[in-house]
Amino acid sequence: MTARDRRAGSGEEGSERGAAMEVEILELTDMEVKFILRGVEPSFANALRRAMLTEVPKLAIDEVNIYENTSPLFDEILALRLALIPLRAENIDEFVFPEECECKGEGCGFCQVSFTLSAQSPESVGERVVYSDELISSDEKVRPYPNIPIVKLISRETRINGIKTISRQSVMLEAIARLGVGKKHAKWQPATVCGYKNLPVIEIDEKKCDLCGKCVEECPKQILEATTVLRVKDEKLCSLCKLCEDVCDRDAIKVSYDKNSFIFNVESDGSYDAWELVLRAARALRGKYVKLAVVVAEVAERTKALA
Amino acid sequence: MVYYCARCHRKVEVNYEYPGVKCPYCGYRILVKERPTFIKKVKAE
Repeated sequence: MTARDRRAGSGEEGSERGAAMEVEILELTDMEVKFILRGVEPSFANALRRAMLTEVPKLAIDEVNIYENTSPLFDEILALRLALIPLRAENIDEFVFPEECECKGEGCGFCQVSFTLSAQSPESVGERVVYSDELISSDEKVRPYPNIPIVKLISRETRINGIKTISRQSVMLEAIARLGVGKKHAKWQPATVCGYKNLPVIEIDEKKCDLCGKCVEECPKQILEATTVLRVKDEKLCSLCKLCEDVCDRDAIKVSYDKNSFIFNVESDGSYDAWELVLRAARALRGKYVKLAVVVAEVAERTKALA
Repeated sequence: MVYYCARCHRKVEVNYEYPGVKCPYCGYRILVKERPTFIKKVKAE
């Protein structure tokens, strides 16, 4: 690693331009993370958002072998419902993409996981819902996200030639999960919500403000408060609608936004913890930059050699 | 191709040489195609 590479990695290059990248975490749970990213260009914020949606690999059911299906759902719809169940894998890094696997996509323990499902409606008249918990995995470390309804199976009383019988519905299938990325299909998309907005900046001119309270009433987010002075309760909640600015006759309030700061709101589908998803997206992005740097260097060398 | 009658639930072989279809046992005209016995492979997308 050269001195220049080290400087780029540590963020010193950003400080030379006047603003180093900063991250401030606002909320963090297993499924959701909200953070402020400061000192970055809008293009970088968008690249990170897109990487979270499309570049982080995850496991999803890709093929279903149906042995029996007398449920109300068609085979294709059942398969799609199964595909959209998030699969949480502790050993996700051990899996490879089917096209990169040594088995050449034929299917082996490194590129696919098998799930089996066998369910039947009740013996007496009634119904029951089959949940994702009933999928049995061939790999203990890969589990489906629990409590997702797949299909409702119904037992009905029918008369055939005058004889009363209970007709039961059943589903028996094998589902094969493979590694993929969100740009290929939405089932491989690990983020359900991933968006950002610019950090709002609200400036109040106390000399001009006469505390009339019109802006406080107008604000749909209720973030302004007029006591002895007009103050903002939480700038981050502002939706930049500028209604307060329009209603003020004295131009005492000004709403704008910081061009290089973004409030990110990320929600995972359950296949990763939310913080891990952001981290993996950043790594995927870095991998792409490194690849680009290598290609550009190769091209530069070739052109030099030709000259 | 094996069908079964929607009323008497008996298996029915359809003879395509004759126009129209109906159950030879009860005369019902609604026949349901039976699910084939092989394993069906479905791409989940």
